[in-house]
Amino acid sequence: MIKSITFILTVFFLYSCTREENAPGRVSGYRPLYSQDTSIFTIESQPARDVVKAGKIYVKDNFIFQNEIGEGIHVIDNTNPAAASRVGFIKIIGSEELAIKGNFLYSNSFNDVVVVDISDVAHARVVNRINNAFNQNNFQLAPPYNGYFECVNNGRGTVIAWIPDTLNNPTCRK
Amino acid sequence: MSKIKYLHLTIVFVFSLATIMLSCSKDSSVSPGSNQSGVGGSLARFTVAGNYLYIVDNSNLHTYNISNASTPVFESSIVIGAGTETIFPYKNNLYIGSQTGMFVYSIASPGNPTYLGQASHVRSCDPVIANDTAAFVTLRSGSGCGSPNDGLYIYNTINLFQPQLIKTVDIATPYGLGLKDNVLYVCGGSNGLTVVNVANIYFPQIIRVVNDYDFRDVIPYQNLLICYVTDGIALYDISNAQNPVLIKKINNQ
Repeated sequence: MIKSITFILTVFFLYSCTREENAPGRVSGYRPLYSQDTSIFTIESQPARDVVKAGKIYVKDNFIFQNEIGEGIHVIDNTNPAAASRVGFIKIIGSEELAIKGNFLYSNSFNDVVVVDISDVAHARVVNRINNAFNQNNFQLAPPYNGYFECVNNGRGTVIAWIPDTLNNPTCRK
Repeated sequence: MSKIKYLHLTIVFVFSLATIMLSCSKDSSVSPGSNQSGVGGSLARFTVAGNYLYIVDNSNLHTYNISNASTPVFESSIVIGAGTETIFPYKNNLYIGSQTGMFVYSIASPGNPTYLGQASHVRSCDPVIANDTAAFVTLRSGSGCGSPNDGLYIYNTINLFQPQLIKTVDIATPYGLGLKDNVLYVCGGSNGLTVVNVANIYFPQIIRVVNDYDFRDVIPYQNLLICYVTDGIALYDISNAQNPVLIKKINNQ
């Protein structure tokens, strides 16, 4: 008896996590916020700033770079080491990693890999973004709540948060 | 007869001159802002070797062709194992530090890294760097890092299929590390920067401990040692590799 109840419950839970057969209409739920959805995630050069959460370091030619964890990359002019100083900042929200080849910097914005042209560090510009190429941060594929949610579209970038919203016939439910 | 001899000398002279000119022009093309990659610290998860970008995440090694640097082209993904943390390129190999051991992959075929060997150890946090004959790993206990004995672990890697642990050096709370010639710099957090002579890896000698800051990672770059310390960046002159001399400290605030 207990075994069969357990079985039924297990089947029920498995089913409840899959896509809904019947459209629920307009309901409250959660929608994913993607890493490239808003201007908050714009990659750009900014004035030098203080270091708050110091991260990894990298050196290329006359520049030293240091990650500001989750925020971007500090740029240090090291032409004369005795007078080295921070000269700028490249804003990359969700960044923790960096490497450089030629004039191109590779970093991450959450789970996405981004390519930034730094031929002029004062005018950095993103030239490429590879969605979900860096599975390190483990951002959740489903909201941390039970109920309806808008299914994740991996083509739109990394899910970095879940926003409460009214959803029209959502097909995913947890 | 003599004419032929002169002709011969002239050819040799012209050829030598051409060789010298050619080698000069080659040198001058390697200038700052070149198409080369830079140098990362030992805690890196991204690294560039030749025309390839290698990335380690939680458990995988991803390879991208960056012959056209602005447009990475995916080449391959392979599973390394859970707890992968760092990647260090040296010549034809990648040294990967994970919480369970050090892994060596060949990039002789750069688009398809292939497994060569590994050295397992107890669960810990462990960046790795290498030279022709040895790999240097630091193991640190603490939150999320397991509980081994802290220290520098030196592996003989002449046989890359079976790296052999040959020596451990007691260094408390080690983080990143860097190598210049035969001198190793090991960041020991608030315990300072330990300078170790590893000319003979069977008899590593601690030369000194620099106690200026709380050291987390280093990059030896020509005659400069670039140090990530908790309250800034410290730059040391390492013209004499065994005796770092502070040049400049850039404070965080």
